[in-house]
Amino acid sequence: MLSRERHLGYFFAGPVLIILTFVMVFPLAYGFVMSLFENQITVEEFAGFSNYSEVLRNPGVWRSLLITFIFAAGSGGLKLILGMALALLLDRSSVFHSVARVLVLIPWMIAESVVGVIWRWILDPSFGVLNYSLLRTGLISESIAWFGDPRFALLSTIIVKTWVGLPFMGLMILAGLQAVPVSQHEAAIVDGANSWQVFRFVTLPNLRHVIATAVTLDFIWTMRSMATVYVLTRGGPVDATKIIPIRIYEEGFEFMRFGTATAMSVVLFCVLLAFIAGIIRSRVSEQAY
Amino acid sequence: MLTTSIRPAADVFRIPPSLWPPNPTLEPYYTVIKERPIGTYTLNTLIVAIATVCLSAPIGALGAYGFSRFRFKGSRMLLGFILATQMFPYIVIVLPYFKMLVALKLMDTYLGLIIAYTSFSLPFTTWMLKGFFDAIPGELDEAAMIDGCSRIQAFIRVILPISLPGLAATIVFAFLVAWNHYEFALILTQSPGKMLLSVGIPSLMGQFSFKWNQLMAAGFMAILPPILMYSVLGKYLVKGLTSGAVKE
Repeated sequence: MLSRERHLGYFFAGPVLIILTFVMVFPLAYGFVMSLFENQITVEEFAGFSNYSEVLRNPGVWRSLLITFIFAAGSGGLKLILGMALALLLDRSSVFHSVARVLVLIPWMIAESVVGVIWRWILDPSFGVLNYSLLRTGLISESIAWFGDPRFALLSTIIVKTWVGLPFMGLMILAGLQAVPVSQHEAAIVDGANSWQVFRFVTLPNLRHVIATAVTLDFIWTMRSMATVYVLTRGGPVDATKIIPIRIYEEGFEFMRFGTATAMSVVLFCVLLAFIAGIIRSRVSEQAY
Repeated sequence: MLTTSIRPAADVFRIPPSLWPPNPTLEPYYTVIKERPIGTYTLNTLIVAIATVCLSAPIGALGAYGFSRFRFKGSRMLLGFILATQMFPYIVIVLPYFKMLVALKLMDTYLGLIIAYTSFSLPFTTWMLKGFFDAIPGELDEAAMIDGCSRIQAFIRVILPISLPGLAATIVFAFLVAWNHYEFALILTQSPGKMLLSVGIPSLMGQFSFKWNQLMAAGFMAILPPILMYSVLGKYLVKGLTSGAVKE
């Protein structure tokens, strides 16, 4: 029955594919074409790959890549550790369902840019709650400019990003935890394993796949949006938090150099594509036909 | 955030900060609505988010059904592509969009924003709805067709009603993603009259950096509609995520 209707598949999927061609494929292709042109406000001439060599020779770009990596790896690591703790905690508790519902809610509810505004207030150097508490308890002797001081800015953005992404990580790991067969736990305990050994040799190996997926997805999503960092610091101070998307944004919309900006974005795209391809392969093959 | 938003201005900078303001007031809300274009931002965001969802939900549903029920040449690859587009960095797509919308004279228009928003909303709705349709056994379509329905009728009369919770969940999620989106809103609008909430609220930060009570009032108003939507449709969302069993 299905084979006879093969053409109907095109009928149903057609509109999506046509629209996606216009709103996604075409802009991507056009972006690539833009990257081959010397493209300032008025001048526009074919430049081959010179934009690319310019981008790759720019030490600022490499610095931004490094910052992006520290930002993504730092917040990813924190999310993983805290997410694991959160998941283990929720796994034992019977109020799991109500808590989980609220957890799912948070990241979807608040726009990242509004999150940025809220954290600017919490971390406000003079009147924010955090500095007040730290001063009061004597942990610091003078106010810290969390986003104004190059030494703290990246750390502060990492903390905020961790807050944003923690629920997703926690829920993914929680789902993984609940899929660990109880019989394996019991067998380990019968064999005399203590709770750390059960965690290390039974729980953790079972979670390997879930953790790999969650960490990769989180990495891709951290690269995807610049909203949090841009609202918090605009990439400053002195470029301390200038992650690649912000550098591309500035190159394009502040310096009006679209050629080099699109060249940078193609580079970013290619870096991410390896990760994306990995995720897609595992996700699509999971789908039952 | 909530407690800051109902503080009188003088109380914001009090040391030590108190958890609950001693004399709460709605004055920051009143002021920020009166003096700042929060109403315009909200209206703009509503228009763009609703139009995007209205466009991407029906087309996404058709496509999702196609990918769920048929295997055709290239369907796996196309499905992979649809999933992949949800991971592309926004900044990569927004640069060409900027140039294209300038060329088409669609900068600073609702239409331009809606087209741009569809680029991430449509793959999202397609992928999510496919998950819901996959959970409904194909025998149901076949039974409907034996009873005299065409494929399209089977889809509209049988499959869509059953997947209503899934549809509701998808629509809410798609709305929220559009409501909260930042990059396209930042770059594809220029005049304050077309600004969306996600960009408008942070922009207030520069204009009056010390009126935190008003800022928090504005921020709270921006997250209120999503919270309301969630509390009304929340049960559909949870049901949508756990449904799959067919009872009819």
